[in-house]
This record gives sequence, C-alpha cells and structure tokens, in this order.
Amino acid sequence: MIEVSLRLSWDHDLAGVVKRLEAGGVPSREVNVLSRVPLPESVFPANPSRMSLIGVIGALLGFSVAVAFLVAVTVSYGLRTGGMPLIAPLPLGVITYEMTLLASILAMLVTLFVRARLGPWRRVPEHPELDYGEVIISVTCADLAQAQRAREILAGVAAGRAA
Amino acid sequence: MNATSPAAAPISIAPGREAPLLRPMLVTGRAYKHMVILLTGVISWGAFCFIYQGFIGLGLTGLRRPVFWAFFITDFVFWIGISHAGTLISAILRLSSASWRYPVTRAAEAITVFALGIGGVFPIVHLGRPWLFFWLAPYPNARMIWPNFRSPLEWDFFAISTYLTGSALYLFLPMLPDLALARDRSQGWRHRLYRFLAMSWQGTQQQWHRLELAIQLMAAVVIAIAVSVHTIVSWDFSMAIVPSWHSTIFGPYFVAGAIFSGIAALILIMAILRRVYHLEDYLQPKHFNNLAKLLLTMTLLWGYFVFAESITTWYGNLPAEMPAFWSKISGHYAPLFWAMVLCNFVIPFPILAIKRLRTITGMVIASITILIGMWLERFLIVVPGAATQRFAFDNWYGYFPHWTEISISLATLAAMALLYMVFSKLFPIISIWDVVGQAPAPTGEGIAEPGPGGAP
Repeated sequence: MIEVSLRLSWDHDLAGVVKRLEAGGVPSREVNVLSRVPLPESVFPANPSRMSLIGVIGALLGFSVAVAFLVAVTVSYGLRTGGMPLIAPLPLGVITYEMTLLASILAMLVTLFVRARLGPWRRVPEHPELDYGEVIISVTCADLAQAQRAREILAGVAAGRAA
Repeated sequence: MNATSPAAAPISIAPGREAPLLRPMLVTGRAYKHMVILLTGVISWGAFCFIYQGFIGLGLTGLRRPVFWAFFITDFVFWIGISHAGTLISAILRLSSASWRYPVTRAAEAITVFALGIGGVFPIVHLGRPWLFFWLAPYPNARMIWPNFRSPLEWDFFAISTYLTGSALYLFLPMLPDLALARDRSQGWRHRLYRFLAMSWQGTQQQWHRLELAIQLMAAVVIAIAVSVHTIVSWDFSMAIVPSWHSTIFGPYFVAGAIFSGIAALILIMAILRRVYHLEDYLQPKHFNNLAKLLLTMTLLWGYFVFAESITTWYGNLPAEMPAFWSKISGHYAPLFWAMVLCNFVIPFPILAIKRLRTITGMVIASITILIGMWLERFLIVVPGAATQRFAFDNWYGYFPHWTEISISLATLAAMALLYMVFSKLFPIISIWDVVGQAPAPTGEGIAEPGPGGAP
C-alpha cells in the first residue's frame, strides 16, 4: 500500500478535490479526508448509521441475558425466603436494568470500533504535520500506477492553489 | 511517496494553538514533585492502617453494636456522590448543546472515574475479611452459595460496575482525537503509549461522524445509569427498617445531593487547574459563573429536601423516628447537623446568589464548605439512625471514629488528588479538539464522503 497525501486549508474546495480524484479513477473508498476536528456535515454529510438501532438490540440482548441469568441462578440455588416468592421481580429488575444499559453501551462501543476501523492492533500512517485549520487528503493506492495517477491529480490541485 | 505540502491559504486557527493545553503534560515543576511525594506518603500511611485493621480486625475501629455502618460507609456514599460531578453533568450539558461546556467536560469526566473507583473501594475496606471481597461477584463460591440478588448491596455491585464502565468509556472516547494529536506530537515512551491508546485514530470524516454519534448516544444512556446508581446507593439505607433511614424521599434526595456535591467538587478542581496550569484563557469566569448558577439551584433544592424530610418526620411524630430526629436537631449530633446546614446553605447561598460575591474565590469558598457539609450530611444519614437507642439493652454504644478510620479516609482524599495529578500529566485535561479546533464553514459544494463500508 502506498499513501499519497496533500495538505490543504479548511477553506479549500475539499469536496471538489475528492470529486477530481474520483473522476481520475481513484476508488472512492481509498480517499480519506483527515482533520483534527470534524468538518461541517454540509461538506461531508454523514452516512446513515444504525448505531442507535444496534444500541437498542444490545439493550434487548442484555435484558434477555440478565433475566435468564437471574432466574436460572435464583431457581438453581434457592434461598430460604420464609414463604415469599423465590423469584422477586422488583429486586431482580434493578439488576436487569443495569445489565440492560451496560449491554447497550457495549454494543454501541463495538459498533463504533468496527465501523470507524479503530483498534490498537491497526497500524495507520501518522500525520504530525496536520494542524488545526487544515485537512489532509489521503489516498491509499494499491499499486504504483494508481499512486502516480493520484499524485498527478493532487499536484494539479496544489498547483492551482499556488496560482 | 508523500506529496504533502504546506498550506498556502490562510487558516483561521493559528498552528500550535494547542500548545498551552499540551504544556501541563510536558512541564513538571518542583512543586508538583513535592506534592506527589506528600500524597504518596499519606496514601502509604492509609494503606498501612488498612493492613493493620485487616490484621487486628474491624473491632479496632469505632464500630460497635448497633453502629456497624459509620465512617467507611459515609465515605462510600460521599465519593459516589462526588462521582456524579462528571459524567452526569457532562452528559446533560452535551445533550442540551450547551456550548460553554467544552473546557469543562474532560475535567468533570475524570472526576467521575476516579471518585467512583475510590468510592467502590470502601465496601471492601469495610469488610471484616476484605480478601473475600470477590464473594460479592455473582458466581458460586466454595459452598455453592450465590449472592443474594435481593440485597441492595448486591445491586450496588451491578450499578457501580456499570457506571464505572460507562463513565470510563465516556471519558475515553472523546479523548481519542486528542490522544492521536499527542501521538503525533510526541516521541519515545509517550509516543508508544499514545499510539496504543489512540486506537489508530486518523481523523477521517467517517470516524468523526461515528464518534460524535456514539458520544451522543452514550450520553443519553449514561444519564439513566447515573441516576440509578445513586438511587440504588440510597436504597442501601431506605430499604432497611431503621429510623431515619426508611424514607421514600431518599432516592431523589441522594441524587440531588450527589449532583450538588459533584458540582462543588468540579468548581474546586477547575479553580485549582486554572491556577496551577495557567489555563485562564480556557477556564474563564463565565464557565465558573454558569456552574455557580447550577450550584445555587442545587443549594436551594438541597435545602428544600432537608426541610421536606425534617418537617414530615417532625409532624408524623412516630415514636420510633423521634429519638433519631431529636438527636440531630438538639441532641448529641446537633452540632454536626447545624454545621451541615451552615456549610450547605447559610454560607454558600449568599455567595452564589449575590453577583458581587460570586467571584472565583467566592465560589471556591462556597465549594469547600459544600463538600464539608455534604460529608457531614452523609455521616448524619448513616450514623444517628443506627446509634439512637431503640431497645432497652444496656450494651448500646454510640460511635466515635478510630484514628485508623480517619487515616484511611484522608488517604483516599490524597489518592483522588494524586490520581488527578497523574492524569493531568498523561492526558490533556481540557478537550483540545473541542476548545481549539472549531472549524469554520468551508466553501465548496457538498458531496458525500466515500465511506469504506456504508452504514452503520
């Protein structure tokens, strides 16, 4: 993998640069716009996300596991309750509530890590030169030919900016 | 090949503006080192007392029948309350899009994680045989006895561990961009540390969108957890049929008290950070002023709760309740009770209500008195109800703390300070990307970023 990148200021036509790369045959999935702060969604709108739905699914899963766990344990290792019901919904509900919310958080966390491609095991190019007020257009190229193409397009952008 | 070239167009934020926020991590003065040594000494003394107490047994402490909950449980409730400073306040401000929150949230969220960790230790310190603390965990022990899920103490285990997990994540996730910045600006062991913690964060727009969404969603969930945690801590008491404990108002009363003490702790720590790390440009009077207004609201709410609880007890005049009630109003515990009212209401109210007095110094004074008052409040909830004689036994003792209890409590205060100092040396104490890097609206037509995998 070869990375070709160009540093630009925020007020540059970033969307135009990405369009030119795509028009030049660079696959869109290989183009990334890196920044120290999130850029306004008017320029790079967010893809639709199902993270909230996954959070709800995680919560339902947590709820189910909690109920199954608590009921199974309470029945298997019954305590003397002096005639009171062995399975007490309200006290068990407190623990179920906590496990439900915990599972929801963990589900959202896993979704974030998978979809944002995060993880300490991944090695990514570092850009110490990137500052606030700037972005880096980063193109990950599979071969030299593609890298050459991306380099020419970005060089054109840089030349246009200098002019 | 890297075709990176310097930007020619002017930028709205001067490069290197993050430097003042990174400086506390890199510059360590002599005073800092002396403080670390002092705090380590206090913590070591507390650790010695804890070991000594474990060696001798809990009989060493001032705990006597029927007062089996006292100093350590007071500390437990107090620290769990302080923990509400961060995640809850930060989450509320984030959801309400309060733009003044940016310099405040990181400092607040760190309080939560450390206070919760310290508070969670106290039930273990309080155990007669602390080395068996893992019996609280839900698994069959050697005698095939499972924990009693009906016990509020077991609820504490689940609530606190859930809150700690959620709060740690809520602190960590917004730090990712700043960790990546620290990674890019550092060398040596710090670079390796930040490279690991930054989780390969690059700052692609895909990552930003996902991160902001995750933080927003987690904020909503964390509020629900935070409220439940202190409600459950209050149920440790209100589920017991002990005079002055058995109260339906305890849930909201504890949550309000927790937010109250939490905001006071936040103001105090912000004032210290501002002065020690010279963060006057970031932690401005308007931030303190906004927090002071919240604190004033909580002062009034606290006063309302205490009044409502007291007048209901007094008017009900139940024989079982009244000895504990009068012991606080005019009896053995009256000096502590009125000191609490003084610290939580009489002193802070005018300071926070009168604009001329609402200076940073005034707010620090108010916060310190509130923290003292809230500790007294926790003590007055825990001890008088148990200590007041209800039966005609001769061997009915009162309570006076042993020096080991006081030492261990002070050691946890030192631990909180030390953890915070170490944190501020390793991580930016103010969210850099929030504060420094608010991007202006760029020109150009909008297109969708080519995401690698679509939704979600």
